[in-house]
Amino acid sequence: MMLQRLVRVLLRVAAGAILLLGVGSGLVPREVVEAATSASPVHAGCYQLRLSACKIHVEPFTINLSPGQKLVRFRLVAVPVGGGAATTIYDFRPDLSNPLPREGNTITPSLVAKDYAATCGRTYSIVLQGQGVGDSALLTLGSTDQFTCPQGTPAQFLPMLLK
Amino acid sequence: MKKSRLVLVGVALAVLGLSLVWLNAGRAGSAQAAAAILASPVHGGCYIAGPSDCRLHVEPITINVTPGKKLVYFQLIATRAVGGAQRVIYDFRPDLSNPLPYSGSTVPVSMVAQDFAATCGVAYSISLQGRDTGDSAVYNLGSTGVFTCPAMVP
Repeated sequence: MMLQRLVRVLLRVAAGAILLLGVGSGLVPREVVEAATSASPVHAGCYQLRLSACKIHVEPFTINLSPGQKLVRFRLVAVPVGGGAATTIYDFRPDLSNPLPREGNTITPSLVAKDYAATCGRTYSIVLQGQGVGDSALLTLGSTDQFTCPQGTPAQFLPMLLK
Repeated sequence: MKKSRLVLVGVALAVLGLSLVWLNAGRAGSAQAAAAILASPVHGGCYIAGPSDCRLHVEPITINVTPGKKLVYFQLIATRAVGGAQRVIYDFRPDLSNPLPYSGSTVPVSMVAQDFAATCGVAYSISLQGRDTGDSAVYNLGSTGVFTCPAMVP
């Protein structure tokens, strides 16, 4: 009787240890594999800097990665409405040896200093694309609605402001 | 006889399982200990700020010096993907009498105000090079992948 109990206990210890080892080494899957990067909202708009200089401003955004994943790259793409090719306005790569995120599952890139060039009077939407080490290609993570860059001189708006 | 065999098998399995777990833990520990102490990652990209005006944006960097040592200098280098031409885009020196870090072994560096000039349409990578008082030469501390500056205003 005692021996049977001892055998059961020993077998349980062995099974537990082997299971722990399997999970630790990745032999036993923790979860179902999915896209390395997931939905990451992007918010943006356009403003006039000078007479014929417009800028796209993108709010600070956060890229969400699956646990344990690292970022390969991200880019911001301006898609003109009503013709014209989509254009990459920001192309970003993390460090090759110590990629992002350093810890956790999110990355919040800092704001660029000068904002992004745009054509006044043109309508755009902004798309955020990203790729994690588990993704085979760039994925669209978020996209804004259409917005239109202002056009004209501030004097043009004076009569409207004086009303 | 049968019971004693069962006991032996159970003991063997338990010992095997526990020793495998122990070996696995040891392996993980040694991998952490092998991390380079001076590695200081650099992350960056290129964007278009105006017609024929492209800028390199580098995320805030933290330089890790050897404990007890001081930073001599660091530089950010832009390397063209085609041809490999290199250009120093930022050359930084701390105070000679009171060098960085004041305490600890990390030097946080603030971001420049206007980002770094680049040529539109050109592909670059950025590397961070630095030297502390314990180094006889400059070291490559981190490097980005290759990214491409936009060619035109959308």
